[in-house]
Amino acid sequence: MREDFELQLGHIPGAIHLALSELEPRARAVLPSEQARIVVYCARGVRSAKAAKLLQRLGYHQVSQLEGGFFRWKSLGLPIEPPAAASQVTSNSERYSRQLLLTEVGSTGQQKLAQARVLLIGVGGLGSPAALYLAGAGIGTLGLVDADVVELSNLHRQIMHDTSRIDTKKVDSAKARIEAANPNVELELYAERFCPESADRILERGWDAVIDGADNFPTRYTLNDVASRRGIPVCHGSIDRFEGRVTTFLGNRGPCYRCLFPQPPLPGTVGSCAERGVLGVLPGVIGTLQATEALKLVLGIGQPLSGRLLTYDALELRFAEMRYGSDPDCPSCQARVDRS
Amino acid sequence: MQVTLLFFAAARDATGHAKIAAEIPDTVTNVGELLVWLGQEFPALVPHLVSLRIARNEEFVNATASISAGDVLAVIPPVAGG
Repeated sequence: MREDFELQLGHIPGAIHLALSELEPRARAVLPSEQARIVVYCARGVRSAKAAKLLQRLGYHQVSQLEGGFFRWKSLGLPIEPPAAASQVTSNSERYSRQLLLTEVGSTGQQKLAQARVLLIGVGGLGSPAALYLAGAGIGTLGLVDADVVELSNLHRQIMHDTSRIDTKKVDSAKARIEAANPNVELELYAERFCPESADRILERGWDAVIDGADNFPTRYTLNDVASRRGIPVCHGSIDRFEGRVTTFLGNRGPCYRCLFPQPPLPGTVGSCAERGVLGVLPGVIGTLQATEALKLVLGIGQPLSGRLLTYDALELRFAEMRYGSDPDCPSCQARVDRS
Repeated sequence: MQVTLLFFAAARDATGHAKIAAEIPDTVTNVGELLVWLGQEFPALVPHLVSLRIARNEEFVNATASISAGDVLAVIPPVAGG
């Protein structure tokens, strides 16, 4: 029940923070169950007494107060969460207020976002919207992998970049934009190709999800193989002209990219965006869906697109869904570390 | 027998169609045989046959999967644009 500035001293691990003034408007959002056993505390016990009475009036009947408050807890040598984690979240209660209102997010979810690490392979057409929305949501660390520099022909679809960034490395362009959008986000920049030589080094740093925004098959298969082996989920997106596909490979279970497409195309049979063209807004749709999947994985909410390929036809404005299963002979799935 | 064929991505370009009602010979009883027939009907599809997948009634299936009249068969090559 303390104010934001008091959290600089630390807080009790696992506690939900609400200032006393926020209690009545926000109680239902952060405490959905009236049967929940609630312990309220403040600095010394005065505000928690008021809060307890208010909660009982609101219908919560299993409320107790922490005698002596946070200072007594601390003086007894009981565990305290360091201030950095708490103040990062609560000083942003205004920034994230609209998503904190969602019961599926709340302050617990926001802390999950703040602690999450999401890697983006490619900060191009798909990576641009994905990175911007993940940064906006408050993902703690974003890794950006892209060896390219910004080109004029990128700008119709790669909304992370702009005219002032032409000839700049894409990861540096993205850093500037993301820092302006949300300075809370830590960035790890990899201005290099994601390839067999770099994949293990980059993925072993540990990631909660990877956004596959690559623009070629070899990179996608390398990502799949190394991520599967490490049990790291991949939020897949791919585009061609007016069509897009989205699916999620959970990493430690369920089918992977090789289960879906075991055989890469013969070289020269499938052209790139440069050769075949692409509607600029198309990766905006698909990349945003990939970010949606990544947020759901981090928050642990909703149903991921595991075993479901979502196809999108921009000309018909139609989505369709097709189910796919694990291939029992898949070499990537067989290489998974047993995590059971 | 009558089936519906849906073509995606490069398969759409190779065949010139997004969706057609097709009369396929009764000798084509499974997906493997369908792929051979598709290569004969649409030679431009041949280079893609090795990597494309078939979804029967919204479910990806393998070469041994049987085909029945009325099936909706989607011909889906992989795409890599990003």
